[in-house]
Amino acid sequence: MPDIKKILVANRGEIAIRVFRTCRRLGIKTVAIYTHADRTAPHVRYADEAYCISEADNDTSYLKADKIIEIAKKAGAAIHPGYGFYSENPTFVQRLEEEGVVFIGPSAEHIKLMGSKTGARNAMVEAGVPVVPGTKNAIRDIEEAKKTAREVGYPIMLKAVHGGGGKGMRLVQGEEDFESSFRMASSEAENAFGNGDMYIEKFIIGPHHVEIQILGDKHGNALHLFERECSIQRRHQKVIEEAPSPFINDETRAKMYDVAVKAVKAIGYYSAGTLEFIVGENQDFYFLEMNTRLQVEHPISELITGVDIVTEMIKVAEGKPLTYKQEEIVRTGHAIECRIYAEDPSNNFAPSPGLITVYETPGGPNVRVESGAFAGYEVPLYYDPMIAKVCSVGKTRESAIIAMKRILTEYKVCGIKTSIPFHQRVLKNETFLAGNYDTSFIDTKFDMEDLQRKEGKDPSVALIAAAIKQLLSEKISAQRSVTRRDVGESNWKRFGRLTSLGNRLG
Amino acid sequence: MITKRQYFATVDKGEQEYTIDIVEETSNVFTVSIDGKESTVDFARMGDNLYSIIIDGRSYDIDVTEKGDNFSVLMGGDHFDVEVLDEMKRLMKLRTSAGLEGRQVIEAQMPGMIWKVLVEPEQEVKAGQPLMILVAMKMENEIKAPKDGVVQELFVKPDQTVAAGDKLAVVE
Repeated sequence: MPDIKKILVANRGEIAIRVFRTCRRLGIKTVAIYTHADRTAPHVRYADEAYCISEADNDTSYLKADKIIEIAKKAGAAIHPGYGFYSENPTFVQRLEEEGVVFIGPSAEHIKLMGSKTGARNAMVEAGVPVVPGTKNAIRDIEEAKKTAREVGYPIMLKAVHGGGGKGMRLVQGEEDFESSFRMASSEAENAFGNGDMYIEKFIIGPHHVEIQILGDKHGNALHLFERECSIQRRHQKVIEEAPSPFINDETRAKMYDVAVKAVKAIGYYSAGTLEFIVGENQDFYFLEMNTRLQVEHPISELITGVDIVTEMIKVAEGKPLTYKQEEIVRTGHAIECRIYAEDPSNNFAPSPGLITVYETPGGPNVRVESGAFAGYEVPLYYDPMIAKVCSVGKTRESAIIAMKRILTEYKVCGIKTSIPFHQRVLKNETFLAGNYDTSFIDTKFDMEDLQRKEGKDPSVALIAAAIKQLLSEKISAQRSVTRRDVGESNWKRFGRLTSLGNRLG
Repeated sequence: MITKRQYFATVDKGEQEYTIDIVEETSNVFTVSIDGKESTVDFARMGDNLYSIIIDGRSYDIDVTEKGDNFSVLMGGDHFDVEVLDEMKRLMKLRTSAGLEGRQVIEAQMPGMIWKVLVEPEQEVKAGQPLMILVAMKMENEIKAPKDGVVQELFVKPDQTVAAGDKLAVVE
């Protein structure tokens, strides 16, 4: 396959720029697509070519396969999907394969296989990857269910086959509670979903979300770029990730790398991908799912290995072998990523789109910022609230944390609220600092009210700042009122009167 | 001209009231005393809401957002809501702080798109009842009635885009 000369990124924001940066380094031309709402977005300005895909002013969709393919063909570009949108859409990839447009990612077949829960589970079992013990098929007979539960080992989780939202779910600690729990959960599922079928899954205590970044090529080579710990999540959305995991031990690590690479080779997967695992408190690990794309948190793997994952994806798409052999991948140091969202942590994380008035990114050593924002940029309403990812790297976990603390104080975003204060709190949290947090961290170890509460904290600086601002605002409005011909008492007069009153009081 | 002012401030709607005496010595240099404790303050604006202030030699980087007499102050991850009133405003507030009485105008707390309107004009509503759903950045936010009453006016329709502070409804 000839070398790729031009790449269209079927995405927006920071990830589009991230891919373009690698293209620019490799001398590959870049093509951006954008919607009407994103006309002023930085990814549009960064690329060599940019095409609007909106048909009308209120059309904010990036899901326009026909248009994207037409532009890619006209421009003579391969397509990189970023994450989200078309990144794990087998129909889209299938179409590209049929129409002769190069897709920088895995095959449609692999996306389809890993997109199906049962398909992925079966493929992984076949490849020797441990999956959460239990049954995936409906169990109706209570005696049979009891026997299975005993084999899986308590505690177990009963789940409704057609369940969702926690309904028809029961945690069972021991056999004595099994029957009543089964009946209740099944009846709840029957009432809620019209189907009382249940299945059994082992309950993992103190679950950690640990994932292995992998790379594969079309020549049967596969390697791993170590693991990431992604247990700090809010509403199942990752917010802070770090590499390596501070929780798992070297023995677990080695086993996880081994099964991940074996699985990738077994299914013949190529391009970048991630195997997500749940790891219990006693270091037993089980396959959750495989992401067949570049992930948001890929920079931290790049920071500890020096591998540019996007470069490897492009090479693989060109049909070339991976640049590295496993033994050439050396881990140096520790990296942390904080996802910066346009939301207000002190107001229950309410979305905060709008105009960014000040935007200063952190500089200096040990920092990497992937951003899709600038001063004067209006964060649109229509898309994901992530505006940037900031990453720190250090020789040790401790030094990476210290670097991140410094980075977050330097990072200034005004005009909208961001999740920066939330990250600053997490970085002070003792459980986080000790590195023994699991996926329940935000619910159980993080004091959400702490975002509002300042008990024991001296408010003097805030009081001083607010009072001076009030005084200066009064002066400004007084000055304005003398330049305008206001009717009645001017603010300036009022200000003078209040000042003399203040002088008397003082 | 030396400017002197006295303010009364509360933090995070707390009960404690601080008395702040402030004197502008020269441009950007102030003497501020909180309940009698005096400090010298160098106050420099770094851009938009960003300020660098040095209090008795200690330097702080802060972000101050102003809305009327309320100031949202962010420093090193700590967030304080400070209300600063002069004597006249303080007296007025004491007179009117009688709770949610009468006509309540509901404003959008954030920009977004009205996805659904769940009530009709003249409809009776209970405090906390959702009136409409505003969607911003893929998240749904319920706009609730602040008190028991009747929906007097609806200013928005489904699919309408609103800015922060736009009027949404009146409950009386």
